[in-house]
Amino acid sequence: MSCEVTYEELAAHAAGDMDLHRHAEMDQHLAGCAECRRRVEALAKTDAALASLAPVQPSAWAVLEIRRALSEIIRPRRYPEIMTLAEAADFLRVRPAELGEVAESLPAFELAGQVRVRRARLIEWIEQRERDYSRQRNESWVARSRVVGTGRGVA
Amino acid sequence: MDPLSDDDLMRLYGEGDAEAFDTLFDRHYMAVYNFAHAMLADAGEAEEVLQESFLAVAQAAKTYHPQGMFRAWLMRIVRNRCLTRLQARRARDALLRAGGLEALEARSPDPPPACAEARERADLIRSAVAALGERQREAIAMYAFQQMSYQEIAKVMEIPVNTVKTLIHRARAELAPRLAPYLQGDQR
Repeated sequence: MSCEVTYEELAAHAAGDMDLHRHAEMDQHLAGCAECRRRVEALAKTDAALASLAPVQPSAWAVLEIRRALSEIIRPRRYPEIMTLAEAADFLRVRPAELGEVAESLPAFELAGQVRVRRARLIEWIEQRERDYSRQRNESWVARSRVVGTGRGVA
Repeated sequence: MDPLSDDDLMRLYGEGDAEAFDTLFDRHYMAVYNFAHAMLADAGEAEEVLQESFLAVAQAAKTYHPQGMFRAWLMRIVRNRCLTRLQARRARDALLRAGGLEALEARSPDPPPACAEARERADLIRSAVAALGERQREAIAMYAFQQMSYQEIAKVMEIPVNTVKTLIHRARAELAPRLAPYLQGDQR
């Protein structure tokens, strides 16, 4: 005659995921049920087989290709020390045509009829613009504060 | 010196350190690939998911919130991509059937064949896992192959811990009688 205890109950019991009362009942049941002991044995062997299963190896070629593809994304492009205008625009993340708006202040030089930009000078120029922008923002904040302060005084 | 945590590496990568990302990839790519392989039972698709998942990690570096749960976060990315592919596979197979055509290839491997000698033991076990229901398969793959805790799996699957336990015990309960004939000679 087949036992009514399910494999799932035995699996929970073996993993210790059962309340203490039910666990004790199962212990008692197992002592007298050869079929369940056989199933517990099968569960233990299955757990051991799963745990000892060697990992699947992706092909070395595939891993190499994936590394290469990811590397293109995670490694920012390296720019030369002397850049063309197109490279400078790319460096600044703007379209070349948009450089026209800042052409007068851009730290560029002419060489054999072509415009070039030194990367180090471009970074200095960016830093100066950062300082200018920060100062303007502060001034505008102070001006707003004064207006608000005046308004409060009047009220 | 203690190795850097995954969260440290994500922070460093977010600050522009590409080598930190390489370290994350080296640390987790086998787990990602093996989980995707268990879910999809297809080496080529598992490789695609591997690439897509790490690409998603790279793109999310700036918005990643370190909570010491990087692996669960990563596996949730992998799982979502696998589920999308399984859904597309089902839709495609349904379309083929509706058109009177059989699915071009059997994507869900059959349960272990009667003749075990013809298969490698590892393939046999993997086939049995692949034949489980989708949710049982993903839970047991994380539990048995990645040694993830119930709590971590619950985070990945976004379900209660008790449901995770039930899925895992059901999976083991299904696998044990299927594999028993082939594991008889094993020592416990």
